[in-house]
Amino acid sequence: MSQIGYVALLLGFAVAVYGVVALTLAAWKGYAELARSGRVAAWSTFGLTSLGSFALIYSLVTDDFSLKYVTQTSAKAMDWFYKAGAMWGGQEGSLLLWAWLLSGFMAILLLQTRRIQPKEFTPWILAIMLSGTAFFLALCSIVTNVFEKLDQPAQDGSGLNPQLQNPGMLFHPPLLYAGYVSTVVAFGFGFAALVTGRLDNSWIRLSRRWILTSWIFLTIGNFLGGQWAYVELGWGGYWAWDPVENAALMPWLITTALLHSIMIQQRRGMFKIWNLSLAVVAYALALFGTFLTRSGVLSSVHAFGESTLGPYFMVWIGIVLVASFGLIFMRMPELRPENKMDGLLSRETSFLFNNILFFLSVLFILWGTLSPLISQITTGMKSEVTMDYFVRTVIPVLLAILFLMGIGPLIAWRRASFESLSRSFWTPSSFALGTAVILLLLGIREFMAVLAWSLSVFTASTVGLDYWRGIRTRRRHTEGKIIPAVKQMVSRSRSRYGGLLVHLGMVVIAIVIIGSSVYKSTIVTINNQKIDTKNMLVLVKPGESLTIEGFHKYKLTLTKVETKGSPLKMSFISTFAMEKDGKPQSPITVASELFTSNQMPNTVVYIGVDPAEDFYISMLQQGLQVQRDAQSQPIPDANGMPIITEAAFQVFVNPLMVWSWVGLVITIVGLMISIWPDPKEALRPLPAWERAGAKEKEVARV
Amino acid sequence: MQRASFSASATRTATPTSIPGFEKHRKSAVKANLKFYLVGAVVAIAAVVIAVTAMQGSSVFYYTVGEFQDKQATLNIGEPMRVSGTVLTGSIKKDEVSRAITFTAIDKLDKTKSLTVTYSGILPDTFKDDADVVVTGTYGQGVFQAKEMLAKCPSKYTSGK
Repeated sequence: MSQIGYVALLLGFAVAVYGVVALTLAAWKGYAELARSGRVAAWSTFGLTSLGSFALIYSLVTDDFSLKYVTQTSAKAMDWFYKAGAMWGGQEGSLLLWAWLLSGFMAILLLQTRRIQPKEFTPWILAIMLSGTAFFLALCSIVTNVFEKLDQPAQDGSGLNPQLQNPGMLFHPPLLYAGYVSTVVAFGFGFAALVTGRLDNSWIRLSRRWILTSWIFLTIGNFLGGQWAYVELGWGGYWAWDPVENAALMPWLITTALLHSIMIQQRRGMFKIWNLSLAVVAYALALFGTFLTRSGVLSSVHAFGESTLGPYFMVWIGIVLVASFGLIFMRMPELRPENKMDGLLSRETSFLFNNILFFLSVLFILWGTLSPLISQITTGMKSEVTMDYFVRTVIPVLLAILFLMGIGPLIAWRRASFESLSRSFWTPSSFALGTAVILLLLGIREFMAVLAWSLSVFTASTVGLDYWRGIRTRRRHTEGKIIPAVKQMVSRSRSRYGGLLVHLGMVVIAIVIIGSSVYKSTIVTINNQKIDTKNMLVLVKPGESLTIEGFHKYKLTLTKVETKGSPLKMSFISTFAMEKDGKPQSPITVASELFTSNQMPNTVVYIGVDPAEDFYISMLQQGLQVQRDAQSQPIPDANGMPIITEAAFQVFVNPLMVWSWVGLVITIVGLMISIWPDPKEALRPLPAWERAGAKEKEVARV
Repeated sequence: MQRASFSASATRTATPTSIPGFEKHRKSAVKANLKFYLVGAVVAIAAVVIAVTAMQGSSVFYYTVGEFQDKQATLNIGEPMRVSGTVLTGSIKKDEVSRAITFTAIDKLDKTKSLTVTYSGILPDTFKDDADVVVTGTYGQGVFQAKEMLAKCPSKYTSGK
């Protein structure tokens, strides 16, 4: 099977290269036959890449340990779905996943391009996606070989990384990759527009839903990454400004800017250069993110070690950037805006400010992430930035964006008067002010929390008021009934009301992030001593109790620590009796494990979820004390296992964490509303300036 | 002035300087856009100030154990820095009372270069013999006192080539 897979990938690469050449020639010279042949090549590439991917998954699930990759990423003891997921557990397989996703999205485009206008974009968008597929296929079959065989087949794999045996790990990489890969579509259509000279809103119209698709995948991918870190890694946090995390965040930020910025081009024919640039940068950052994880260029807990692929990525990204910005520069005269900025206070300028803020946040993150490289080049000495840098630069920008999210929808197009703005500003501001007062009365004194939470309420109430006003108006048409009013209102303006809901979801997530950053409780009281669990060990002997306070008061008494050995792993299991606000709860267990095959450690964390907060406790490998006799020899118990006399734990209370899921669901619902096909879309009149200039031209059918 | 055409065959536009009255138009265009340029300048300056001050307050030098040993004489005692190396097998010692650990970090490439490190915080599960570590802290009196520790299993995902 693996032979078939290997041949499929090589063949896929060859066919893809042919397809790129055929499609490019077809577009350039107008050869219809070549165009048709190029499409066949594209379909074949999708088929062959899928075959190669199935071959890899098959090899993984059937424990084919003659393959080096299977031995590295899988193990007999793993569940079958984790074995399948091992496809993206290592470098070569992840590259194949990129190629597969890219060819899959290309297949969707092959179907879409049978019907779209303008037809001259088709060969270009297909050629771009095919070239990307060729690149990744080359990386995983020629430069490195995902189907590389071992000299001697192994008995078992060493890939059992317990930290990856988690549902989050099954979904986080492919969803994030889907987000990365789908940035190629907006890029491809933008590039097609630049090459063909058709620089009207066609490329925007064709890319819009793909941009939203890539955004939702990136959102969920990043969210799950944080969630996985939170439950698996044992340090009670979800974001460390690690280079690889930053590399996943940056495309998300640019895509968010892009999906807003295109609204201006659709309505007013402005920001043409911004939109093309953002589409290019989003794709480049997605490639860059993949590069960072693979090249070993920056140290990171994620980094897959040194690899030789760095130069290939740099060249590829370089080609993308030079070709795209070269074309943008050449097409500058044709990219003049249809309208100009009227007032300093207008929807257009707030969107401009939005673009600038997102762009700044990416610059700040890029600067910090690349500082080791930059400092090495400029000063000869390598220096890194701590988390502090990102907090001090990015957080203020994000807060400004939070505020803009609220007032943006209130500001009128072209020229807003301060009076009209103040009227709609008044109610949300009073809510915000009221929130600030309530928070201060509740004893909350941290400036950041009060400011950020008040801003969140401000923005959330603008969403609520927008919905309220819309429903109230619509109710006049539905005899006062609310549900039909909501349905009609939303379906008449899907992107507006969907977008507002996404804002609300983001605000909820922001509220959670603010709360958990400022109010995480780490002070544990044990034996009348206060210990900060963030940097000191909390050592507990069986029989002792510890307490920690968040919104609730928790008291845990260690009843026992057991040692269990199995062929798979050695486990140290602690059981606690728990009291919450004085009321007894069911006992909880946490464990620290060591897997025998590869000596990999694992932590089994306990998280008690409550609307107010998460109670989080994990056990540490260090600090285990074993009962010894006079000669310092461990005394075994009845089963021959060592008796544990003391263990170390980390205990946190993280406020509001469960609400982040609520925020995510609201975001997804809002996005679905926004992206939902609108049968009336084609019938909507174009804005005046677009109507006046539009001309359709017939081109040879491809 | 010629308007940008939407057709795919548009290749020619009037060049700006060939249009009469262009200079006067350009000057008034700049004047009208003055407020935008001003706001833009303010934003740009603010951004630079924020980034530079944040960078100054949170940069740490990053050395491998080998680089650290070479530069040792020139470094300031007590200045925070990061050092990366590998845990020398067998060098991990735990103080039973204070729970602090002491170990020797060796340079990945030049195994003769070493550094004694003490750390009293929480150890990542991955900290063990031969692990790659990055410690953040200060150096003084022959010992590196680490405040933060990052440890990684010896590389698992090398491409092998």
